[in-house]
Amino acid sequence: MFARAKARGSGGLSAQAKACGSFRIAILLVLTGMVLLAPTGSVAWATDDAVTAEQQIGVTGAAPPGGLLEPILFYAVAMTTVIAALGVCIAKNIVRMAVWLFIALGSVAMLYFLLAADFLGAIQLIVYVGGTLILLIFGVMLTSKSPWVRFEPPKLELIGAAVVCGALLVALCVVLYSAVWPETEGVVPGVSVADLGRRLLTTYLVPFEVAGVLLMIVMVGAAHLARQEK
Amino acid sequence: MNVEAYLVPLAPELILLIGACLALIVGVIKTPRQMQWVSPLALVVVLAALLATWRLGVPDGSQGPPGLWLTSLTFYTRCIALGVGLLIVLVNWHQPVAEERGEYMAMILFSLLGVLLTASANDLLVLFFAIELVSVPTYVLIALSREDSRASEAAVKYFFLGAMSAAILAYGLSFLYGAAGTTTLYAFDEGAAVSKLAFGAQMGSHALIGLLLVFVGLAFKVAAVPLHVYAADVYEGAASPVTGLLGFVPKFAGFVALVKIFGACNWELPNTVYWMLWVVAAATMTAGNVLALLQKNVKRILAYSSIAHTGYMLIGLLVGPVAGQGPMRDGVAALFFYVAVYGAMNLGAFALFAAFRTGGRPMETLDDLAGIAARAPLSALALAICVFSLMGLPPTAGFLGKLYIFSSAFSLDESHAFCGPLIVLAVIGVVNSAIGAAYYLRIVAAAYMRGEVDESIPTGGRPVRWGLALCSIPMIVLFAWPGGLANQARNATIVLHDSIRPVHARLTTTTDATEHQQQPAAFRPHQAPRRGAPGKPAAP
Amino acid sequence: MLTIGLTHYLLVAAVLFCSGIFTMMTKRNAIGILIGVELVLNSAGVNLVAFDRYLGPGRVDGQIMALFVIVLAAAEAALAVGICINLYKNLATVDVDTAATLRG
Repeated sequence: MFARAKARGSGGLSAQAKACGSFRIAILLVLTGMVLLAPTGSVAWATDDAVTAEQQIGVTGAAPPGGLLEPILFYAVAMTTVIAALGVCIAKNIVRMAVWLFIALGSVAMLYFLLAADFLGAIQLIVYVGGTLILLIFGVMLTSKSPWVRFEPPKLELIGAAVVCGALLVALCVVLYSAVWPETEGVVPGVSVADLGRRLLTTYLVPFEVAGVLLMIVMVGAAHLARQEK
Repeated sequence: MNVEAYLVPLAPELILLIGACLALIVGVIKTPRQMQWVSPLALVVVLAALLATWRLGVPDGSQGPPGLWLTSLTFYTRCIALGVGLLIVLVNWHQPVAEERGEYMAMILFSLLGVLLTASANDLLVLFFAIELVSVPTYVLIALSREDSRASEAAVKYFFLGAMSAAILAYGLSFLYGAAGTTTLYAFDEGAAVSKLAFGAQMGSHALIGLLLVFVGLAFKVAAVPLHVYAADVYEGAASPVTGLLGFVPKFAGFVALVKIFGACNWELPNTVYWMLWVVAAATMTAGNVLALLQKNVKRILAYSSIAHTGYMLIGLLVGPVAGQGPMRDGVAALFFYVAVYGAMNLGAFALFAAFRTGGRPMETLDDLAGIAARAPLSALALAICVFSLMGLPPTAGFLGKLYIFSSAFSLDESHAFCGPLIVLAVIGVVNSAIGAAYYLRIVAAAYMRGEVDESIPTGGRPVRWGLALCSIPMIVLFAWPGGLANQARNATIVLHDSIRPVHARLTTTTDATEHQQQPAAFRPHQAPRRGAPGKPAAP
Repeated sequence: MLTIGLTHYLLVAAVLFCSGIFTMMTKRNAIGILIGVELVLNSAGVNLVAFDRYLGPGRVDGQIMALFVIVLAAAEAALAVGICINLYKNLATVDVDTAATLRG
């Protein structure tokens, strides 16, 4: 489809129509992702409440919080994450990659919810999905005359990269399966946002300040680089 | 709150931070009159930070905010980073020509601030962000350094490799956190810390993979072999004064971070890690020297020489610290000595290229150097000293640096498990130094032997030439009197030994910082007697 | 299988990490590389939060580290866009391979 669009000339009307078509597909994918992910998120919140309730009445045990619900949710979200991550690998169009990344980031936020890190999940959605990703799309829009540029890396390079990454994944899996973690049994109490904020301004004051300096550097630097006329 | 306990010990860092912000503010006023005050301002800031370092002396480790641990390593890093930082400011005096000098100088100061924080970090998170604080300004510096498409191309290459390595570093640190259950690097009490993990042969595979990934992430900063590919392109694309900075600041920060991480492991690395590092060190030396032989552009030659020097420094890292010994036996002290000397001599070589233009463009190739000895004999002499020092010829500090590194490997104890391989590695290093002589001599020969080909016009004003002089004179002085720097380097490694680590009454991450009380530091009784007491700095 | 433990989350993170590395290795577009970097940073985030949940009850170190990783990702994305625009103004490309004036 894209090759044909390219052959007819990138400035042609038909190419634009094609482009609009794939953009529609992208939006559809996004919406589907949101529809799929939204309920899992809300149920995850419910699970979390259940945990705290359970804890309040003093029931602790080795059983996972939420009984059967947690595995089902986990596998659904994990599958979405994995599929989206592989989608990023396979996609040859930069905007499609961005959409797959969107789904991956969203499902990582769901993983955070499942891990009882509510605040972090929210931050992931707001800062990452809402901010960083939009920035990426802006980057594509501003720097490319036609955002539908396809890139076809050499076959050999693809195979080489796939072999390397596959080996890496296998090695990681072996390590993760064999590793013995000092895992704590039973229900883990959730962490309050207040605690997080307090810790951020006491124990983690130095990295907090350094992060502020870093953001300032990035703002000044990016503004100058984007403005610089040569 | 504990203003005195928190802020005063951090005076050099705070001075750099405030100075950088001032430079940014001055940079907003775009009149030429204000612009000429930016470089002196940066110089004054670095000098003030050096003065503050000297006034504070060697921190005893009991003060400073949570997440930081101010030790003799901090003191050494402050002295060296700010000392070389002074030269960097001088060499960058007239850079860039455009209106961006305020931002430019601020970026240099921020990068130095990152180095200082890396040395004090006692928390994985602080370490990670300090390393990023070193790198992020350098991405901007490269792109700002000159009005040339090659500079922005170099910035893109450096940035994307840097972002990759930062991401890999984050993933590796997450495993170290998982293995230790805490972000604290060294604990001063019963609290958990990365340094309390079982290392050596008992090391868990998860901690091991974390360590390997951290090494891969930091290999980019020091330009070690799998991640050295950017060096030549980036060095060629960026303006010469920035290249001098790139050779020192990220490398120093990377090595300090590696020393801190390996120190947390008590240098008890599993055999696989040792062998991997061995191969990386050998490959880095050889690749750097062999590829440098093929280059014509002097900046590319010096880029590959920078890679080769990383290889030599990795030998010191592999040998590890030996308590209380001087750099002749202590690998890490030798590494610290060498990296300081390398920073100055590398900067000196690049300073000459900042000081002269030829045919309307900056000097870059060997041909451009032709006849410079006749036109500017003193500058050519300074270049020759710096290049001979890079080569490792006797009347220079570069010779001593190499001597310390190699002798630390040769004087390893027989009982050391890796005594044999490390001696082989040192022999490879000696052979590589001999190979390296070939391309260093080509630079000197181009400057002295060839006739005048093109007009070279001095562009850099007096400060750049002062910078060049101040880079080369210490090479000779340090050869005659290496004692001060060597003593400081020895003192810096003392904190790396578990047996003599100062005891802290402070919980770094386990309790709230507001609740704890400052207690005087005391030295835990140590098992092994050591020569030479730490603490008192020898007069440099 | 039904008890979701630490390893499950770590495996998801490992898949994210490897996909990120693959993307960085194969994609020639600057923004494409950045997307790979984001995937790797997210794998670090999942790791950290999972460790925080399962290893350090009642503590927030891992969550705070993950928070800072998000901050870093945002900063890098901003700088990436700035640098890409800078390159694009000069060479009218963001293809890392086309930008090859620097070859020795």
